[in-house]
Amino acid sequence: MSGAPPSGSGRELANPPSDGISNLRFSNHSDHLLVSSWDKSVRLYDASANVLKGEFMHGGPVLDCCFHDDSSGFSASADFTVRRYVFSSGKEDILGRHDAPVRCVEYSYAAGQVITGSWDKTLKCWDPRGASGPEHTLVGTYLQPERVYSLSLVGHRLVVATAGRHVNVYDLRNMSQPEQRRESSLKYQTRCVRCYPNGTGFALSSVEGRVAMEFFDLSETSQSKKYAFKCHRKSEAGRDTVYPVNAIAFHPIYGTFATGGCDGFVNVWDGNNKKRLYQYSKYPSSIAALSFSKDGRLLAVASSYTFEEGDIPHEQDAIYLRNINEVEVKPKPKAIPAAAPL
Amino acid sequence: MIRRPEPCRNFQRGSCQYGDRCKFLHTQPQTRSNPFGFGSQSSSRFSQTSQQPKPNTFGFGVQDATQLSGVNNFGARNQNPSKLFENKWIRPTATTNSTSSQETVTQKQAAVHECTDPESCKRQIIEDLKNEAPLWKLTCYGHWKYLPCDIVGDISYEELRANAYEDAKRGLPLQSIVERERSLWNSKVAEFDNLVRSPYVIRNSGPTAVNQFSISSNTLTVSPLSNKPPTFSSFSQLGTSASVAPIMSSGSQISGTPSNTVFIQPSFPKNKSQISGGSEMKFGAFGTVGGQLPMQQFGSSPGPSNSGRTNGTFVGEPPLQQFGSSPRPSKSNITNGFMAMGSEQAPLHSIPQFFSSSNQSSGSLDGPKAVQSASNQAAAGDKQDIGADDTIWLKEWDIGEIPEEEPPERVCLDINY
Repeated sequence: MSGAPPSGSGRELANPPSDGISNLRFSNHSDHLLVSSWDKSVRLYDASANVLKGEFMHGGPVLDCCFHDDSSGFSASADFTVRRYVFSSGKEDILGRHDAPVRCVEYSYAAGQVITGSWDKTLKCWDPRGASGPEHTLVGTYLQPERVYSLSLVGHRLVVATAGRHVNVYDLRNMSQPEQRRESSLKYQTRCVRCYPNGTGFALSSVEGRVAMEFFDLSETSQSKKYAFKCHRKSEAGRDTVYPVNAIAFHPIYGTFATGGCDGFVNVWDGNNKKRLYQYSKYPSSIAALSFSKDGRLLAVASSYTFEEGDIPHEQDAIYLRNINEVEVKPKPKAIPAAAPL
Repeated sequence: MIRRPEPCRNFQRGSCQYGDRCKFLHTQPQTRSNPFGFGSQSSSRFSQTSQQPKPNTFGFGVQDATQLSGVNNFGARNQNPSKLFENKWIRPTATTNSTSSQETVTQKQAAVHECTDPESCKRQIIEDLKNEAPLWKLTCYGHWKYLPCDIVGDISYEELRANAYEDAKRGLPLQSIVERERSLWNSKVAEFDNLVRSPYVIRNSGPTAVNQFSISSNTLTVSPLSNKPPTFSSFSQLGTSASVAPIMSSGSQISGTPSNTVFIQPSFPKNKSQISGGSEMKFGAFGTVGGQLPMQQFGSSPGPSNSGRTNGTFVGEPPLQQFGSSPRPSKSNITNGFMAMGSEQAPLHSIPQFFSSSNQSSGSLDGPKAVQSASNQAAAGDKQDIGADDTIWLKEWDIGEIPEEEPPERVCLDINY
């Protein structure tokens, strides 16, 4: 690859997809990594061993993927379908369809359902145990105000971010209408939404180099804690170049989070103390996706041009795996002596 | 600090960027309107967040009221100096709205922003767009964080890319794809420029401009657009009107976005083909993203003359360019990306007309859309129907998929959610 970043960026995954990477996820049970790509494939890797374990093709670019358990997963594609795979046997089938490219897919353990969001402005819930075919698997369709751009789940809550800066919060136990309907507190297009692992709120990122930290609880005390911060900007000659923040990933143990932007940097933040903990060295291309492994020891970074500047020559797309040091992700509470052993 | 013995006008309005340094007196404003009305949306959402004027450490959402210094809040503005963040975070605290200060009374979530003061909103918008213009231009924008967008019709880069891939699969030459994207880009940039230029407009006042259209659509004019006709007039009528009329209905709802609403106007014939690559474009829409439908196409068959119709080239670009002529005077923005193609001119083959028109209009795109929509949907009548619902309806953005439902239905549909 040209201009390979120094080894400080982590090791590169072997056999990466041949086109841009749309999303990547670690499994909740092991170090398996599922990667979805614009080259129409969904690939399963063993990240620790750095080996490709399986590849599945779609009819169109795959925009998102997620695990069901360690042996099966789902993917969402621009060919309007949602597919499910059983990795061990290599079997795959179509779980259902939308009327437009399917942008996001998540699996909810709490509800036992697959949730997909699409540019046809709907959210659909599917029951993966059903036989294939929408008549068997579709549980419900929920209209959204606009095209769905990002989804995130925690516990029984689902947050949906759409075009036009809308954000809907649903309770999975009662999907008939959103629990809360909000407009994004940021001023520009939303890129990504991720819920905090502790279930108290979510982080929202936009194209204007900002991330907003919000809370579900509508009480005054909780709402007073919300804030937004600027990030992923480059200052030159008094003007800022403002990069979109494409990805947010929470560390499963510490609750701190990493953000990745089109500037090629990954920053790690402590949301409670409002500090930045670390910044990794610049990656060759925009950061399209981030994921922490279940034990928080590995961070997968998809350095893949996201076409935010149109079709221009760009660096090779690649996936880097970093071994995480505690110092990079552990919160440092305001100092009290004897606190925070590191 | 020496102050002239006059009350500070900005402070009276709610916020003064100079704060203590200001030369004029900062006495409490006598007249405070306490608007609550507008804010209701936001407040309803967050009903509890009351913001007391002081409080929240992180102020997000608190009204800065009291003073919001100036329009730019982007930097740590918060009234509570203590706490804060120690490091590096620059907290933007939200919008600075001068008017919001008055709201403190309501303690509603900072959102109670009624946009009653166009000047301050305009300042806010200008600040935002000048200092923090994001790299990605095909975005929506709301000048007050909890309010609906002023400029709607955002497209994500994945959508553009997916459309481009689809088109390429269908055999569309790369140049046309790039052209199309470029036009979209330009028109969006023009929309933003327009927003900056025209003061914030409180929801609609009526279309005025629309009538100018008289574009093929017949009824289009209906759209109530509050936009500022004057600004438009500078551009060719069409262009302006387009912007103005956010095409029908859309404009009005979207809080004053001057033209943009049009941008989104769906009215495109639903082309599943997404990117309209040559397909029917009935309206010349790129197919893509509803954007810009060159309206020209529509009625006027572009012809170089845009005579008024086609937009006077928004922003002063030579109207023409119609076919064949190089599309767009290159805007700097374009150079950014889309240019990659290197072919600026893009012969425009498959979509000759459409693109060309679009180019020109890029600015005016808004207009055309409206036009089209009219034709398309016959909406003219429909459009008007849209009332308050418009915003939602308008926001709809179809990349190449223009819903053909009657607007009213659509509106209803949206409401349901």
